[in-house]
Order: sequence, then structure tokens, then C-alpha cells
Amino acid sequence: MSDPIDTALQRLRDQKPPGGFASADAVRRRGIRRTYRQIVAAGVAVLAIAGGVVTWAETHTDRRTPPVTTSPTPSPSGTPSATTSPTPSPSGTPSAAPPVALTPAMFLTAADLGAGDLVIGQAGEVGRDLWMWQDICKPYRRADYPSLAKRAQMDWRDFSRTGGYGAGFQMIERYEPGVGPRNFDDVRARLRDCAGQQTPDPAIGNLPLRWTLVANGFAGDDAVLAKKEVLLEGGRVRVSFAVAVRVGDLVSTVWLDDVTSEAIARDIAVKAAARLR
Amino acid sequence: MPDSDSFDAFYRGTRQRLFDCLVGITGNRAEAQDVVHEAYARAWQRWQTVGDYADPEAWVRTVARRLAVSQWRRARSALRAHRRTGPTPPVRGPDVELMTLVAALGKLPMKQREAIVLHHLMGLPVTQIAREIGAPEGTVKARLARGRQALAALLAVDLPEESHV
Repeated sequence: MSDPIDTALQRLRDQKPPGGFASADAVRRRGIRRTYRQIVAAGVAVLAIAGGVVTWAETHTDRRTPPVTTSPTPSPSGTPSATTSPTPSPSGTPSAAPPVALTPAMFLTAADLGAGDLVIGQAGEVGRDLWMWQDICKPYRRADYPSLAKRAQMDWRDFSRTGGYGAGFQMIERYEPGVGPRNFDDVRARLRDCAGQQTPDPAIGNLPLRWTLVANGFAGDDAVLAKKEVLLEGGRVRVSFAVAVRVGDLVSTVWLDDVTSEAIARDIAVKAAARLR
Repeated sequence: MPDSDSFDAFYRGTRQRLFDCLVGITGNRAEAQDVVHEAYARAWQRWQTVGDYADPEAWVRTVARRLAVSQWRRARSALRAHRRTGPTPPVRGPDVELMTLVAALGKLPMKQREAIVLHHLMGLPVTQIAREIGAPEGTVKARLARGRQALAALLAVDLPEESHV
């Protein structure tokens, strides 16, 4: 005799969703949109953790009034380029940072990345305090990395495969004059703080991962190459790389989620540095 | 590089089972539909890793179940607020027995409902349920036993004398 609860629950089988199932392609696109939103959320979380007083309204104000430049390539030396409308700070006092815009030419192209099926995405809204290294392990306290308070500008792009998967990100930051080298001190400090830690990463299903600083100073005025190891079930390890390069006070950071070759990562770093000059 | 073909095949091959599971947990097809799509979107974000799992369906089911429980909690709070403004008129559906079953499941505590759906609808053994929900096997058995008794009473069916689990 069959179990009456089994029998009763069979009635729930094979119902149809009211709107039908979305296509697989639509589901993948939804996944990509989630990635964007997570980046936004990460920026907001940093504000909360740091106890910052920056409000959404302030962030929004910043994004609404980007500095406008007449110079296509900002000087990496920190010398202000000619600008047509210096952006006042939210408080109304003059900003301490030279209001020089980052340019699209500073970002890597699909050709730079050496993969025919990569698509460079457009920048979206992100928390202005988002830092690429903030979530590589926990805890993260913004105050422990003092250069971050001296960041003048940030922009980012994502790389995605034509299949729709987010394959990586590039962030370019401009720091106040003379702060660029200190930012690299902070990058190294963050990697050092996280070294050896096997930290669960909610972005990849809470699998443990490990970051290691692999190489220094191989591109631009300074560079770091970091290895990310995701520790999979069964003792397997998935390796990918991230690079950061500095030219003056400009810092370009590239995460390459599907680049498993250190040589390719170095080559991309060199190209990223060249685009900052 | 993640393989969209393998993801698409996985999605097409497992989505109906996941949808059935979520209808059992949420009692709401529209809500179940949204949770299914959200869970698979999250799977695609991590497909390089999740696709390598021995049982990616278990991963996506766990994500979906947590989403559903979270949504259910929010809905319950909203319902309580709504009830303060007056009762909702009853809605008649085309399948009274199905509605009765969904209503009965909805009266079970969420943890018992989860156990009942995973075991009796999804056909998972107690050991796997315990692993997926992160509870001892004894706890799962207890939830199943209590849930079965409650559900049998609500559906007016007789359970066999022997314990099912």
C-alpha cells in the first residue's frame, strides 16, 4: 500500500509556472545583472562598516556631477589637467583632489585581453568607495587602509563572455597627488593581511579561497600580481589571477576570473600600465 | 571558461523538479517561479564552480529553499499586517484538492514543511536532507514524523502504523 503522504504530494508535481519558465538565456542574463548589483551592494556595505557618513544622496550627487575635462589623457603626475567645471564637494567646499576625469582610453580593450569572445561592458552605478581588494578576506576595515580616503576618482568596466558570463572586472582609480604609492602599500598590506587565510566567499557558494601575492614591480611604476585559489571539493583547486598596476597616482586593477596563466596575467598588466601613460 | 551549453542543459533538465519543490514550500506558483529563476541565475554566476559539483542540483535546491524561506517570512509578516486591516476574501481555484493540499502544507511549521517536501515530493533520503539543511538526521526524522502526523490530520488521511522513516 502506498504511503498516503506520498500520494497526496504527487498532486504537486508537474505544475506549470504562471508565466512559463524563462529561457536559459534570460536566466543567464539575470545572473549577470545580479553581479552588477552585488558590486553596488559591496560599495554600500563598506560605507556601513566604516561607519562613514556618506549618504546615498551624496553618492548620487557625485555621480550626477562628474568632472568634465577637455584633456583626453590626464597627467599621471598629479598635475591638474584643464577642466571646464571643477566639481564642488557635497559640503560646498572646494574638493582637495584635482578633478580630472578618467578616460575610456585607459581601459583595456577586448583585443588587449586576447580573447575573441570577450565583451567589455559599460560602467554602472557602484558605491564610490568600492575597492577591489575589500572582500578578498574578512574582516575588512576601510580605516586600516588609509590611502582609500584619498581616492579622488574611480571608474570600472566588466568583461563578459559572449555567452553572458561575467569574466572579470577592471577598476581604475585616481588618487590625490602623491598618494598612488601609498595605495599600493595598502594593496600589499591587504594581501599580506589575507595571506594564508582560507576565507569563505559568498560570491562563489561559500567555498574557501586563498589569495597569494605572487610578484611585484613588473609593470608601470609599480605592479602586483596576486593569485586566487578556490579550493573545490575533492581537493581540487581552481586558480585565477588579479593584477594591479600604478602609473603616478593612477591605479588600474584587473581581475581575470578565467585567466589561469600567470604569463598572460603579467602581459595584461603591462598593457594596462601602457594605457595609463 | 563557463560552459553555457552545460548550464542550459542543467537548467532545462532540473527546473521542473525545483519548481515542484518550491510550490510545495511556498504554496504559491508565482513565488515559486521567481525563486526558481533567481536560484538558477545565482548558479550561472558561479557555474565555473557549481558546474563541477557532483550534485549541482542540490546546490541550486539549497539556494532556492533559502530564498523561498526568506520570502515566506517576509510574506508572513505582510500577511499579519494585512490581517489587521480585515480578512481576505476566499479565492476559489480550479483544483480544490490541490488547494486543500497547499493549504494544509501551509499550516505546517516551515521546517516540517521543508522536510516533508524534500522527502515525499523530491524523494530525498533522510541523510541527504540532513546534509542539505544542516541538521542532524534525528532532527530531520522528528520533523518528518511530526509533519506527517499534522498533514495526515489536516488532509483527513490515515497513516500506516509503521513509521515511514
